[in-house]
Amino acid sequence: MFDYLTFDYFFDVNQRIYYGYVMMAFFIAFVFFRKSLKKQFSREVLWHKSARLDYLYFIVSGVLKVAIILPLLIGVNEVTLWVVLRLNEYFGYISRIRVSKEILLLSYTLVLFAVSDLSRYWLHRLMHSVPILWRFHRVHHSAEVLNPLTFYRVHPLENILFGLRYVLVTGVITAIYIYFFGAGIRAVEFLGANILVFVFSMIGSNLRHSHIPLSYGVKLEKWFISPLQHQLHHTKIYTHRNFGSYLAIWDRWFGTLTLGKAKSSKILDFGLPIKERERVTHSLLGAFLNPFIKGIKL
Amino acid sequence: MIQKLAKSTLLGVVLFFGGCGGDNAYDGTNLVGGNPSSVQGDVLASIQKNILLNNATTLVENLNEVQSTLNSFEQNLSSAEVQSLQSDFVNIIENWKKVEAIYVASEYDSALRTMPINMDFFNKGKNFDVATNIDYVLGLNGSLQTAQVKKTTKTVTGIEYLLFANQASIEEMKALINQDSQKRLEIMKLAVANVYDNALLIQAFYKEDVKFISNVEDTLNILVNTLVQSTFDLRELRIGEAAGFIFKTKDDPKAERLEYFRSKKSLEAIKAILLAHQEVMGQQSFENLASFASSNGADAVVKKIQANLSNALAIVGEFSTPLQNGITPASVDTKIKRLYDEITDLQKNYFESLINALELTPDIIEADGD
Ligand SMILES: [Zn+2]
Repeated sequence: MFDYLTFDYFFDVNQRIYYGYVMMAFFIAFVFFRKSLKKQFSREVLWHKSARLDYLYFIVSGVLKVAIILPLLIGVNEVTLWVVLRLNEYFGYISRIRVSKEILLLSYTLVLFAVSDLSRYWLHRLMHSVPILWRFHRVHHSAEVLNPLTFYRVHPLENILFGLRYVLVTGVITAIYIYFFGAGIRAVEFLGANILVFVFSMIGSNLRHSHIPLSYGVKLEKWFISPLQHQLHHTKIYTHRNFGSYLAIWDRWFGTLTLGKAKSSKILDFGLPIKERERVTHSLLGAFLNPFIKGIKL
Repeated sequence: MIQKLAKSTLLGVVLFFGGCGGDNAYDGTNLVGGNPSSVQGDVLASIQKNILLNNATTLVENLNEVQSTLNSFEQNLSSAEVQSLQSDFVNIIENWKKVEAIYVASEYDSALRTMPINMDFFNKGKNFDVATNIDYVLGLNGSLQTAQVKKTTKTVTGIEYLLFANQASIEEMKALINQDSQKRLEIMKLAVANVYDNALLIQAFYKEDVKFISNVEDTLNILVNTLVQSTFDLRELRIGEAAGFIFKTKDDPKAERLEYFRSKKSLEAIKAILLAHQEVMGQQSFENLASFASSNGADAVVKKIQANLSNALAIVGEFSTPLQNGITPASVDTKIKRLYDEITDLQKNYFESLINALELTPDIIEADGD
């Protein structure tokens, strides 16, 4: 239980704010964006009402996750077992296909990463396009200044949806691999994190929610979502663009990609889309209840 | 300049984190997976010695005995001698099934990969070929030419037909063996010699191999895969197919599809396979996969597997007649369905242990939006 308390997030390599990732982000900002870094640590950003809600929210939602959300989620092991048994039932048992361990682990790592990323793209896109889901996702977009903890400013219902997505995707992919290849499936890891997640987290995942406009350049941004591209997603203008997490290919294929490089980083004005014309009060209660009761201000 | 500096510092930081990852390193504590340690190596050595090598050695000894018995016959066989040969055959299949159920040698030595089909021909359509070939060779005049005895005949399947024909009685069998200057026994010697040679290879492999104990993670995976495969073969090929429980033969039970239909020893084979699983997963006087898994946090699923195995063996013990008596086109003995269901559950629990061992922890990053 203690593992999940929010303080431990800093020492968990599977957390976005693992101290290594944060230090790396800080390092990148320090070397390349000295001026923006100053802004990030200025009082107007650091102590903005929006940021203060992020800090509070981080602690409260951490407790909520342990107390309510995790127990609610069906386990990934259960899903995997269920799918393995159904595969055997409907398609019959097949003798294990023999492939080298290296190929097996590498392909599993890649497939899991890619399918996971694709499912996040679509769930995120649905959070925007389905009106009832948007009511919940607005909590995240109501942030008017960004910092790494804004990542956790997500309504508990959205946590549940993303948690389910994770369980289903991991369960189904793992089950398919077990069906064809047997025991011993695992992702290539570094310090205990999927190596691809680790790499992407090292190159600035924490800058996605920040005022550090790190762009990858026109060419790379067609393949990978840069922090600047996600910052655009948080602006009042480009809210419904760049739904991707790590890979930009989904946004490119499904027509929602906006390159960061081409846009001036000066236009970064974060918050709910202009047409919603809503004054956000950044209250904790509002964040939890506004999706249900419109009268309670976000 | 600053770019260069940045790059080298970046590398430095990555190396720094790489160096201090001790606390976060993967802590494998389950049925499969984990980091090799000498304790785990001891468990594997115990499995190799007490199960794999021991079963292979017993098989070699059985076959050796049968060989000397066959060579000792100087005149026509008595009914008692035929009967004794037939019970020697039961010993052979019991030990061969144990070796086959946990046959991991194929994973380590490509020369040993086809061994199970060098040894018997169940369900590959070849058991019919075997009878045809034996009848053909028996029908030829003059001395026996080994070339005409097919490779598939020189197997456990061949020995079965030579000793039991098509469910012949002892008296009939005695007559068949004693006719034509005991040509049947000559073919049997060839078959036993071939099976013996192959069993020797397996025994030698388990005696000398060091690969099995050298990579704990790989070996545990191989063991579990082998147990799963064996469970499926048991369930689908050795029970379900004959009883009409599987898709291919749905509601079309035919006892002839049983593995040892001619000798009526299918139940003995099934029992031997379950006993082999029990050697690996049951409570034994030596260290095995069960003791290892239990002490590594997988006790609950190990207990379930052990219960499945003892339940299945108890059902096997309830049979007072050969398995095939329970399978007619009109009906199938309910005990057979119970056995089938128990093994289905066993298979589910093997999968559960396999999946638990993957340690798919709920990844909290993934539970957040973006
Ligand atoms: Zn969004």
